[in-house]
Amino acid sequence: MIKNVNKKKFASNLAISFFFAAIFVLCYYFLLEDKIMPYVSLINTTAVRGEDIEIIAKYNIEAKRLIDYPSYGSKYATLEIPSINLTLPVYHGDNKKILRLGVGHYTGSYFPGENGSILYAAHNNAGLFHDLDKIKVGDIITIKATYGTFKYQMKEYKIVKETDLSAFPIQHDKELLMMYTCWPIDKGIAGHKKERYVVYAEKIGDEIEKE
Amino acid sequence: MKKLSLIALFVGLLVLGTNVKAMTEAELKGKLFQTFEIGGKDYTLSDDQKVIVERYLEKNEISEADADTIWAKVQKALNVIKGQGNTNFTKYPQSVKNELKAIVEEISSETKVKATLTKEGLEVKNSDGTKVIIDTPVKRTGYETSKTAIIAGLSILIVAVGTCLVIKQVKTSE
Repeated sequence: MIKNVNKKKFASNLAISFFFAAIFVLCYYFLLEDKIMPYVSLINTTAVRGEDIEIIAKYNIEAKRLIDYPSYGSKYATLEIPSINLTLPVYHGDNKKILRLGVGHYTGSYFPGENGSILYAAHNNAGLFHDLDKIKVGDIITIKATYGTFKYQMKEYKIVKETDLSAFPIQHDKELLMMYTCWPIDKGIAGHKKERYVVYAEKIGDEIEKE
Repeated sequence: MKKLSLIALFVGLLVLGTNVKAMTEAELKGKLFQTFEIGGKDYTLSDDQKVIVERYLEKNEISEADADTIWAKVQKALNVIKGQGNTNFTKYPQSVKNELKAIVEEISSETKVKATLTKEGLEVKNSDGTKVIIDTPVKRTGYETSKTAIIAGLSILIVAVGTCLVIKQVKTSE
């Protein structure tokens, strides 16, 4: 009988302990998570070294095509969105390893300056595309590639199903930048997201700025 | 119009049978971007796959000799795919996947076209050794929680058990 009493006390102590541990975790997520996650993302970025082979792409201005394409997995540009205070590296390719480093560029889309669809993806963590839904119509997005700088202006956004490929048109009639991340963008909720938040931006200006 | 699977894409790329350089770019694209009939259904490359194929052809050259060798292998692959009645590579039995993988490896070993089948998809290498990855447009870009969840779960467990043991110890000593 004494053993049963001890077991019950142990079980109640365990339940109380889990309760306080859960309170601690909830406090972390609601009070500290936003402050800590950018540092975690930074650690992930610096700890995971991919094939960071930076190939200088060559661009034919008249043909509006690249002559030498960046190799898969290489960083070839920087994405800047001043309205949400975001600057991220852009890599050719969008596998899991690349998406931990920054923005992934889908290989089946065109490059900046090629007058076609450009498809960029990033996780919705703080420090990546967490504030993608805060970009407003008219905001300027700049891609500083190794072969030139290109500016785009946000036109619209959509929330689409991940299987709706018509929301990601790959075309060669105009330069259209599409950036997407999983939706909804919420804090630390695990599980597969079936929707994507997509920002559409069109190229502005014809001149390519070179540094 | 159905979209081609990865294997069919590779088949389409290699069903040239002639020296690439002998064709104009328009003729070449016409051959690659045509509609293929497999299992009584029509298939064609998607727009993003066409971008990948265009880019590959801009960087690489396929000789007549290699094309002849590839064509023989492609016939084998086509027969295997037709036997399945569809082009959904992911749903093929493992034995069929292995068979197709072996054909791809034969092409790689006997020609300058280097390709392998990996978990991520069909991986083709350019002549300079860099990769050409062929996969799907939309990726999983949710909150990276897998590691966080495991660590958080373990932390909760450790804190809970530790606290419990401390409480027990304190009570025992009273």
